[in-house]
Amino acid sequence: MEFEQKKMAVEQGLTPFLSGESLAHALRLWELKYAGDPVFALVRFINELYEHASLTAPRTKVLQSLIRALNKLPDPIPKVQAPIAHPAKVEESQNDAVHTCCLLVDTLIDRLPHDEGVGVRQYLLDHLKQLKQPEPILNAIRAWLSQRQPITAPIPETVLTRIVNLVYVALCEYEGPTKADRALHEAVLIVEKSISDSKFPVRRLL
Amino acid sequence: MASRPFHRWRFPFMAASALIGPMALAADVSAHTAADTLWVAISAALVFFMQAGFALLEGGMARSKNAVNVLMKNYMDACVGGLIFWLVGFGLMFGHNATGWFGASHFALNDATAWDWMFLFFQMMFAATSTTIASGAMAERIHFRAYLIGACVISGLIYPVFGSWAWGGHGGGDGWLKALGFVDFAGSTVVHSIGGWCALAGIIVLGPRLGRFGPRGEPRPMPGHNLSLVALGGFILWFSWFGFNGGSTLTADGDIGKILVNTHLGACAGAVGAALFSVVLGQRVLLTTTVNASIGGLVAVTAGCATMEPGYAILTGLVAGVIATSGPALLAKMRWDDVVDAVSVHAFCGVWGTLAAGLFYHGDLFNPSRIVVQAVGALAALVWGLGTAGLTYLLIARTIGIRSTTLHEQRGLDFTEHAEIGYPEFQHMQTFNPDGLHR
Repeated sequence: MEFEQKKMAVEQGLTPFLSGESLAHALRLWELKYAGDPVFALVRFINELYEHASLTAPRTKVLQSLIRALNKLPDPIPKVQAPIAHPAKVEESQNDAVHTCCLLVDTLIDRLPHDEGVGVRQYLLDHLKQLKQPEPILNAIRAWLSQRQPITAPIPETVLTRIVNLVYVALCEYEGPTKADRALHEAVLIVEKSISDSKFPVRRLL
Repeated sequence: MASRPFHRWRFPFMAASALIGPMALAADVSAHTAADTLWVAISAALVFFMQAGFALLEGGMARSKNAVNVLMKNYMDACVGGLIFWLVGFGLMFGHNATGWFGASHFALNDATAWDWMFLFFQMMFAATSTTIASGAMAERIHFRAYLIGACVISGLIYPVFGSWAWGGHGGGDGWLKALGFVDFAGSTVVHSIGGWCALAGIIVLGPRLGRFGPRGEPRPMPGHNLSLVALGGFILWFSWFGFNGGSTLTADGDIGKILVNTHLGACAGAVGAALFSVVLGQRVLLTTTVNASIGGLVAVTAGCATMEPGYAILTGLVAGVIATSGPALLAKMRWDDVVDAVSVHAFCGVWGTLAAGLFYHGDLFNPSRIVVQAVGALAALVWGLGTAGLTYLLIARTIGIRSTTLHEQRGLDFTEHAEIGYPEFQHMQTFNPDGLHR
């Protein structure tokens, strides 16, 4: 099922209960933590939603609405049209620069406390438009950020540099610039060690 | 300089020279002894040395990835400022001032008396000082070229026009503030407040560095990379200030001793005031605060060091120390990011020093009319400095751009603006690709 379609379905399912900023917040939460999960995991999503959003309707009603909306979705679009490929194929086609960039960004984010990591991913998702790239590439990046799906679409090196910079900006906002500098430096060292045989030096992304 | 030079400059001769024309000042040579010339020359060299002090102080307070950029700004603003001040600044400031608002002669001085050259040289150093104040405040996120254009405007227009109000008349006429009886001996307002207000305008237009303030507006610590440089810069500034204030007599006479004592006491009291204030607040006494407070004391005592008693110089310095310590918190509340606290030290302490010069004027203590004139001068500096510099930086922002990109902030301006780094052999954290460095 396509990510954008799923997102639209979740939005449709939640619309009777939430609106405006609350709905947007719920969608962000789903996008960040539950977009890649199977339908039965929606229970956890709803539980978390009730912790933050001011929902008055019974949980079962919200869950039913979501399931109904998701079930209405058409068959998945053939994968050839999608920028996101199966992980197995990714291994063959992934270029070094994209792989290195993903590794660096994941290293930077994974060292953060959970909430901050979610915040940084969300920051990236909110600012992807700044990259000024075609929609398929943005979708690929979105899917990588929210569902950890590997990117197979070719992305120019300058754009990869911008992605790393966006993470740096988010780190500055969340942790402050001093920690951001240190985090970026340490993450580069980690990536250099972990892919020492790569033809693409990670520092080219700085 | 403002309150004293008229009789020092042999007023009848000056008035006559204004009628004859700006270049006909040859007779003035005899009015100054060789000792005067030597003293002013040494003082001018000391004032030039302040550039080194500012460079070290500001460079030390910046992160290592921006150290070269800060040094370059300090180096180059003295260069472009010197050229521009010779070309237009000196004429605007000290040329024939018929209206009281600006001078209109002595541009691109090419034929002058020996003393005129000396005076120009001394004033050129003052202009460089005023210009460089803004550099530290705007550090770590301003385009180099944008900064230099701003520096040209400060040294060629903003500083000299205000200077003509308070000190003008070397080529004849009088500045309107000077005519009111405004006292600013060596430039608490003319040099320092003007520089400080320009800095404030710059940081408002630029906005804060990435992540400087947290989500609730709380300032995050962004410590400088080398406090030894900060301390050394502080010492050099203090040392050079003896030329700044002492040389402003423009004569090698007996008044210099008291001026230098007051200057030194003001600096000492500034540091002690800040230390005491920190202890009272239950805070640690920081090196950066202490150095800045001593400079705040120097800034404040600059206006009245020739016209107040040592006890008042100490009081002036103590209060300046408190202002230099508490000013940064006020700026932080406004989310204005001043990397080196230049606004507190130069603008706020300059205002206080200007008022103190009126309050503690020797033989005329606490004269309300004098204090009002001082306040008018300080307010005029705020309006002129903040307004014109604000417009200048806005114009730069709208045309060639003023703010570095986030990528440049990540990499550091040493790399992006100069392709050099301050510590190539042991710069610990590299947030840029070292392959792009100049070889």
